[in-house]
Amino acid sequence: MYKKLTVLLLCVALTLGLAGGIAYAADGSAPSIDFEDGLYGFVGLDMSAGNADASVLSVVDYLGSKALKVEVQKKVPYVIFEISALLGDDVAKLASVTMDIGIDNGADDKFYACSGRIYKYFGEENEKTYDEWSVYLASRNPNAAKMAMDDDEAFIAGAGNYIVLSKEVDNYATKTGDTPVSMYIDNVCFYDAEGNMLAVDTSAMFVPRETGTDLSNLCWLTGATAFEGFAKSAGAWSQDGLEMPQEIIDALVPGSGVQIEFSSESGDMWIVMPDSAAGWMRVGGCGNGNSYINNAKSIAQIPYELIAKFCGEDKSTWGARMQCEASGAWEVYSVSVGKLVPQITLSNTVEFEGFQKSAGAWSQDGLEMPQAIIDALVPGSVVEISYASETGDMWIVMPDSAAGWMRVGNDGSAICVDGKCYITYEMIEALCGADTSTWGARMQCEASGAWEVYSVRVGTKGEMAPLSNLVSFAGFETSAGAWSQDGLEMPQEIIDALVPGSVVTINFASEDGTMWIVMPDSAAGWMRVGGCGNGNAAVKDGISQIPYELIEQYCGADKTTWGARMQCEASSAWEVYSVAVGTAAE
Amino acid sequence: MKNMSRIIGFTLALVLVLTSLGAVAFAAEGKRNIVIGLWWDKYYDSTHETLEDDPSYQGTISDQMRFDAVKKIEDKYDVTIEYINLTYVGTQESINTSVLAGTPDCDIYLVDTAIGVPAVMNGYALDMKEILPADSDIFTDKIIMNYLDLGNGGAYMLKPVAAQTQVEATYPLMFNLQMIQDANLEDPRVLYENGEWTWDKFLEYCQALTKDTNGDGIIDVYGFGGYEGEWFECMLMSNGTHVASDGIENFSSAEVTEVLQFMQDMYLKYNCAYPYAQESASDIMRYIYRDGKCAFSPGAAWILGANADYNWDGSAASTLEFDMVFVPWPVGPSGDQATNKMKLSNGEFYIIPVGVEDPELVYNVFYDFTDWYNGDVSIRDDAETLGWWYGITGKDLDIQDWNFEVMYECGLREQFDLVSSLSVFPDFTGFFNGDYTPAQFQETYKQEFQDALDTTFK
Repeated sequence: MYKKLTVLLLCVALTLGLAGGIAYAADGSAPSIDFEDGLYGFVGLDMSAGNADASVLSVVDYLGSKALKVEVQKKVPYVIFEISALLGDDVAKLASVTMDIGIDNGADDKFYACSGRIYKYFGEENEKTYDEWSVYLASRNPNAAKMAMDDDEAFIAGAGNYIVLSKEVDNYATKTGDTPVSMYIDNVCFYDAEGNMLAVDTSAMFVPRETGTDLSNLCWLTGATAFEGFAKSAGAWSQDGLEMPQEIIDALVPGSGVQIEFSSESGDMWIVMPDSAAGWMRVGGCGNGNSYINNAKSIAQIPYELIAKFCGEDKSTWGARMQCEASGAWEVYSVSVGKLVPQITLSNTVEFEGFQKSAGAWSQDGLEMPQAIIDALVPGSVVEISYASETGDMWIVMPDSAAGWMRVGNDGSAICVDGKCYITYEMIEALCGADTSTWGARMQCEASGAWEVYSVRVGTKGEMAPLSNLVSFAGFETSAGAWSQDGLEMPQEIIDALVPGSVVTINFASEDGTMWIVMPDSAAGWMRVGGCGNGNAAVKDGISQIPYELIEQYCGADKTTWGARMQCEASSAWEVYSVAVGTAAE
Repeated sequence: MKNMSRIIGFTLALVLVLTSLGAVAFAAEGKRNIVIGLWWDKYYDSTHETLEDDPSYQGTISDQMRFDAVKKIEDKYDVTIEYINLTYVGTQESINTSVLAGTPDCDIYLVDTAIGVPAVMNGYALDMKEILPADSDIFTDKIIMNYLDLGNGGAYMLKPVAAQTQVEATYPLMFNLQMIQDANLEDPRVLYENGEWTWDKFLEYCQALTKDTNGDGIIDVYGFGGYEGEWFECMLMSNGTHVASDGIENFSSAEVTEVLQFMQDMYLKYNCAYPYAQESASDIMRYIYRDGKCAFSPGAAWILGANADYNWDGSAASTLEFDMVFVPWPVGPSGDQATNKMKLSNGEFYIIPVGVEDPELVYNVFYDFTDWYNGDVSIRDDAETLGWWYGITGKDLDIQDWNFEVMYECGLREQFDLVSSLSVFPDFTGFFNGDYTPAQFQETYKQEFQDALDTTFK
């Protein structure tokens, strides 16, 4: 009897203590943010990670008061709190943050634990570290989360520092495959080092961040011509578009392609040529080939050759109009036509030390090539120039070439994309000759407008394969430490998709940028593919591609001997957001 | 907002009290619910109604036995059993808050060394030696249950025994049997059996086996060749020592000096170790033995498997002409053959937290739950599952079995040491080149190990 009573009292005491911890502020003062004013303009989404979710943010009633709801759509929400704006100069005093985090039950009305991180971006360079939170029992939902600055960490006023709340483990979604549960945030408290609550301005506004364009599975589009006025939307299986202006017709040449920036409920997108002499024609979907579509399902590319395949080689027979269509309701924001160029990757890179130069239009400047650069200039290599120029172009000059003072790449053959210019060994060889000893001592840069070069390096050239017809490897979201493997048994659809010409594409992050696969059950032995001497995966911007042919080279021609599992691995701590198998462009 | 907090507080009080009295989430009326907290879904427990509740159910006998075991335990102990997936972070938080408060959320927690060791150090885990009789399986035969010896005399971190988890990640020393025979040397297995397999003997063998086979003045075969990672780990254990087993680094100890001196001497003094690869050492140094360029090397099933050495199941393109045979590492001057550890601990463990009611009952339930195979280890360790482990290390059946037994023996002698998981990377390449003396090497890295331990144990 006494024992039960003691337990009861202990539980009550513990509960009240915990409840006190969950409540808005340890000292009883009002929290910095309680959402009762309905304002939440100081939060936004960080979409830079490959697994970032386009969550819907709102203030709702939750457990009898207002709270910020993060309605997760599919993946991992990263919610930015704009602390620099909320706190102003006081951000420099910020030592810790607490908040209450609650989660919804699953659709079956059962509780499933979740956990995540509170990332802190601090210092002049917005360095990143994190603390972790969890809501792990129904009786601890909501639960208090805390982020604290370590001794060597400090926010700086005016540096644009911020914090990000993520929900990275969702047991409901993991177990059922359904939409992850929603998250609620309330009673956010900001403290200085002495534990004093800091006041905030909740009218502060979130500052959208440049997160870059997702070019996974795509080619670079160079020399693009915009299809003016092409902003359309329609329902599923409905078409809409415009008559093609002459500049678009002119731009449609072999090697070119149509690029569509879009959103669609179904994630797919293709074009329709309704007036084609070959008949009303879909291209890039529905059995008529497949568009290249990025992982974000926001950009689609349809090569000229695919249009020609279905509409005929003579583009004058393609008809006057181009339309868009998808299998779900869709919206197209822009259409353009340009040259489709496979994205170039560099490996085994050698820096051209000291190559920081600038000059006016049509002026050259450069340096004598160090031996390391000369040694790196071999067949299959490429010169990469990081630059800016008024006119956007850039090329190199070999002023001392035995073949004469020589510009290389100024004829449009240099590939210039997003501040990088690529000139291959073969382009130099074609103009300066096969004997590199005759190329002369110096390499210079030049452009048709005033230019500045930030760095030059030479490396082995690789290409990212543009991919279509992606088959997702369901559930392949995992992480591990350096040189550790993790993965899954391959489902039948992945085995079926692994055919000659296919490519395994991995959306990942790793500390040193490496990522390859391991086939642990291969009859040829436990096998790494795409790294560690067993070939090289093509890696760029968090995407690693391993072609079927590379797997075949190390695991054998008969894929039935490749074993049941596919794993990922890197030479540093890594995280994989998704894996898919796609079809490479022919 | 303040009203919300009061409501939450009151509601939580009620919920917590009720759940504390009636177990966490699931409990049949009148029965105690034994809750096992973990961070992934496991099957089966009392909440599961059919075999198909386990998505990986394959209709095997072991599936059926694991399912049936739950009912037997429910009847035997009048309890229910429930797995609760707390997430990894939630498991840490649950231990650090509820155990500290004296009312553990769970009766048993799955832990790894990163969670379990700090929990033990903070006094959150029960010592089974204070709970169980001395003749319990965990202290004697270790057929069903083992524990991680943290060197503090206690048995806090439980480890269900299974052959596969026992043999994986073991690194016995392996030797080229034909080289030993051709040199008319006593088989190291015999020396080990006789208690004569020491560092001195090992060095003697390595020197004897280092040869210029074609008389051109260049050494063609070395006594030893291996990668620094597993070599250093195994040399530590063979000398009865460690680097990072508790909150204080031991890299600077005299025993570690002996290890480092021995390793460096093999290069600089005796020249009986294969020249260390200056780049890609992990790949190159794990391949030397395959070319017959060294007699001894750290062995592992995965290394022989990755190199596809033996065509044991008809799938490899070729098979080595010589046999690589496993043997425990020789005993160092500060080591003891009877007590030397042979495998760095890793994997999953369980703790019973302080504050749990009737921990002996909890242990017994967990023990029987683990023993779903009714003590018949042939079911637990069925041949199909272990076929790869048996076959991968040799082409000869006797050697396959021998190597497996050595791996199994290594797995029974676990050493807790975080030496390879603290992200401290001493420059062994420079050390083997003579860029540091052992003392300089220790001085250079001891603080890095200590800082990493401070972070781990904070």
